[in-house]
Amino acid sequence: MQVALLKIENFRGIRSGTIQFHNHTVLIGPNNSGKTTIIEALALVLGRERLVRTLTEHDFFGSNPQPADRISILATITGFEPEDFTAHPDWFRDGRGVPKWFDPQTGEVVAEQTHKNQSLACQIAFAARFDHESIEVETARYFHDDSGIDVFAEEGFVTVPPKLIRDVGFFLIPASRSWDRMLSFGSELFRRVIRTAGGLPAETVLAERDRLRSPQQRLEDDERIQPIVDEVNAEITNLLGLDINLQLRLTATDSNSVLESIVPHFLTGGEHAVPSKREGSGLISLQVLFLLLHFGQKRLENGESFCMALEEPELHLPPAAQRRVLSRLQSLSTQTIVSTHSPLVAGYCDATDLLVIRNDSGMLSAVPMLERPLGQDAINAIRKLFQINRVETAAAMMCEYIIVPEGKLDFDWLSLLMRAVELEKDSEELCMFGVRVGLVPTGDAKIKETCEMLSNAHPKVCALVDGDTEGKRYARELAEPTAGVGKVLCWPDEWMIEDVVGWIIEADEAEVMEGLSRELDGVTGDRAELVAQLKSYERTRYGMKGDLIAYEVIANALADNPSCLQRARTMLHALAQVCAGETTPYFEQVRDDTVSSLVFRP
Amino acid sequence: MTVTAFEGPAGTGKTHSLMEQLAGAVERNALASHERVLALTFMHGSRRRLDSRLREIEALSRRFQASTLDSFAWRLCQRWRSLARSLGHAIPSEGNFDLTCSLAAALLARPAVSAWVCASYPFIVVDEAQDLSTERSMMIQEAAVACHVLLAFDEFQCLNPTLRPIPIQTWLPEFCEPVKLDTCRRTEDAELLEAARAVRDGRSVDRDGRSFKLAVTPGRPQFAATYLANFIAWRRGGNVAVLTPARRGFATNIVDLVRARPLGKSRNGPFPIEWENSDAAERDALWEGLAMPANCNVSDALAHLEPHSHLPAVKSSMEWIGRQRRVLGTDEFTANEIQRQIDRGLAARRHYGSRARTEYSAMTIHQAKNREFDHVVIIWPYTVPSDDEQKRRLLYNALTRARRSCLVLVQAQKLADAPPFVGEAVVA
Repeated sequence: MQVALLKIENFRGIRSGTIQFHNHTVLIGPNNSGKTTIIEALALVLGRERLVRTLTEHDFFGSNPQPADRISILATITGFEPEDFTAHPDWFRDGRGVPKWFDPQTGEVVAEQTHKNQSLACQIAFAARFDHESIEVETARYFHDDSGIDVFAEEGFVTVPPKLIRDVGFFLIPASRSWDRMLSFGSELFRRVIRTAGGLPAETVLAERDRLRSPQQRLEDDERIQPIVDEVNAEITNLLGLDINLQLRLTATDSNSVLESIVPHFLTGGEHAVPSKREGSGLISLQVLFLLLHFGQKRLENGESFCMALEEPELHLPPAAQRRVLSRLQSLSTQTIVSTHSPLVAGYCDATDLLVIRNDSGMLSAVPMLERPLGQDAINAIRKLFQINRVETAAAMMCEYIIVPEGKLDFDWLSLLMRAVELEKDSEELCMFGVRVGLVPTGDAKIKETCEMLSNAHPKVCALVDGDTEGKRYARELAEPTAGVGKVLCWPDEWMIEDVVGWIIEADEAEVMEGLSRELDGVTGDRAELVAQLKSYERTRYGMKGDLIAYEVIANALADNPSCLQRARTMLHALAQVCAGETTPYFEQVRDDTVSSLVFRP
Repeated sequence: MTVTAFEGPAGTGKTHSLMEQLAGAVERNALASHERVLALTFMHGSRRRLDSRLREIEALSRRFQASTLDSFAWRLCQRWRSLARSLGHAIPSEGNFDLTCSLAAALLARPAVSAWVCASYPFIVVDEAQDLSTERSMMIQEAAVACHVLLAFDEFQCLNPTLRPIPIQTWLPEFCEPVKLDTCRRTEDAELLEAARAVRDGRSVDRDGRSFKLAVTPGRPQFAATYLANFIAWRRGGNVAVLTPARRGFATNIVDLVRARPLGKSRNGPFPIEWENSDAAERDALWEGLAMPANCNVSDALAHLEPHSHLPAVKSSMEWIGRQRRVLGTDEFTANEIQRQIDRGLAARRHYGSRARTEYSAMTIHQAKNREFDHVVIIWPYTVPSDDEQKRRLLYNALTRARRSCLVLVQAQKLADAPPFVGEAVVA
């Protein structure tokens, strides 16, 4: 079984939104866009009781719930085998759910099956309201029949029995996890793993219990404690006339306290094992994950379903392990839902499985980075975007705004400049570029195609073109509404990215040029000449276009020069500002014939 | 797609046969742990009686649900409302029972819905199926496509002329030939049996038997009342029900007299005969007493209800108002909304509660449908506004309620010389 669709209303930062999940989905998006809220919503509607924490006013959108306000989370469960609902009387009958049919093509749920592509679905809803009299949140989890009826005001709702929730087998590993607690009998997960894996080690536990009941060396027999214990016993006998002997034991001497007292230890080379709390979290997290995977494997072997939600696997997991853990997780689960801030993790996944999450004043949108697998006719530039450069594209998609430059070299230059600016530690000046604005590695100058493709998944796409004739032609094409571009940014007339670099060098021309002439062959002290070389592919004439080594040398020189670094930062920040629609003196709105673009004013 | 039907006159053990058939079927095909038998009737009274009969089936071990068709239809429409809307049906308002049943029938015609019902209820038992209107009958017909339906009926006991010919007979022949029952089990009294047969066949009744008597009591009601008081006094045990086709006037006067004082030479009485009110009358009286304004805020509404809060239906309506304020912040209510809650409360009480058994009761023949009493007194006034056929049915229904004896008090000789007491052949 799996969650095909999740509809959230009025929960935390989400006023309304619907997410369609795949078998394996990775949620990416800007901070605060609602990735965690989505995962917690899943836990509310499908988690076992322990996963459901107490809700407060702050869990309602706007934090000030009125009597009629409801948190409402609706999960559409699919993956019933067979697809005939009468084969699942635990799910579908009077007193349980009403069958629905889910169309993966349209994402719609219909009341009656009209064609074979629609799969059998059960809708489970979670609702909560804030009660002003008891100042508590009342919750309900029930089979959803139809919208427009309030579970708290009407009667006749059918609650979902815990057994069905268990059948879905939803597990959540939150970002705020304390791994070591998950690896003891105090953890429900651990107990469940033990139980599915063949029962509790009952005999061992009982033997341990008996040993703890009558230890070989009794504390109360210790020569320093014994006199005190004797005195206490004598006092009791005098006072009550009863013979009651005080004994000191390590546990409450029942089997449960034996289980609760178990602390996982790790033996890593030394003579004595170290309790897991003292161990770095990396190792424990791996062990817990494998424990979970083992559990998932058992469930799958038993023909049960196992749905795993994992927040930010990049936490505590070394990058080398991330990919392998992720693919193990996917192969051992019916469904995985992963949220991540790591472009690396995102890069491991198919672009169609990456959901770009955005939140526009409470309206949540979740759009796959790539709607459907690329066809045979897809051009190279687009293929690269979602394959070789998937990590970079995913990183850009995680930002609020994205800039699509004319070509790959623009991407390289801007990335190098951004890195130089980011590396500076003591700057007090703000630079939003790279934080709120991401940069896309456009291939083969296919700026229009790239913008069209990305704007399907991202609503805030800005294009950045050169100031030459070709750039202006692009600007005209990009002004078409079908291009999906919000803003067209433009370098000054006849400028290209190399001219921008030249302009940055100009901030401290003498020093930078002097340094570069020492480091790069063929570079004289003349800035204009350098810019021309940067634009030229002719290596025999010291052309440096596309020479990444030369680019790095220049970028390092700029990074070492405070004045140049300042210019680079100013330029990048201005780019970010203009993307975000803020006014900046460095960009000017220019109308040329029919095209309106924002032109950089150095 | 199986229907088993039993047809037979009153007292021939139709319900008994249904139960026997059901027990056999359940023994042959054990119910899965989630499966139940669904027992459906038109009226709450029949539902309660069916409920107690089903409890007695050991093989069933109480795995059944007895419900009125109306409440089953309401639940079905609620749960499948998204399908109903997608099929273009409006959702009827609560209390609009005919429309609700009609929608339920339309829903049950969809294979998914009947399969869904069948997943819970592989067997559906319907008693008194002659009382089902067209839409209710259609519900059963559609359900029968997926479920095994067991039903019992007697066309002659249908008291609603607009339902004749009874709707189930329009489709039943396509499914099965009903099993005809004719041995009466309710009573072994030959006179009662013969009287019932005579009325049913349209022959004249034998008026002066030991256990079936017809007395003409014209003039002042005093005479008839004395007759009734003596009958009660000399009946030698058992409960008594006074039944009448029309309550107002003659019947009311007689019962009032018997309730008030000893009567006749023998000074028999008084006897505390209680009129059973119909559900609708009970509701109307209650509603009138509340004097609810058309629109009111929460405190006004509660103030009107408070004096009657000892009544469960009023109490539950007050709780509902409180809850609406709490969960929705509603402060204004219309009389209609509150009335709907009162109706709900009354319906819930009819569902769970049963009437107290009283030794002496009085009611209309419609109210007595399908019930049994040791002794039945039928008060037959001038004012029976029906054709001869309907009169025969009324009389038949009334006199077949009796286990031991039956007395008919007719308001005038002229009435006694006409149908239903006299056969059609004689009149002609």
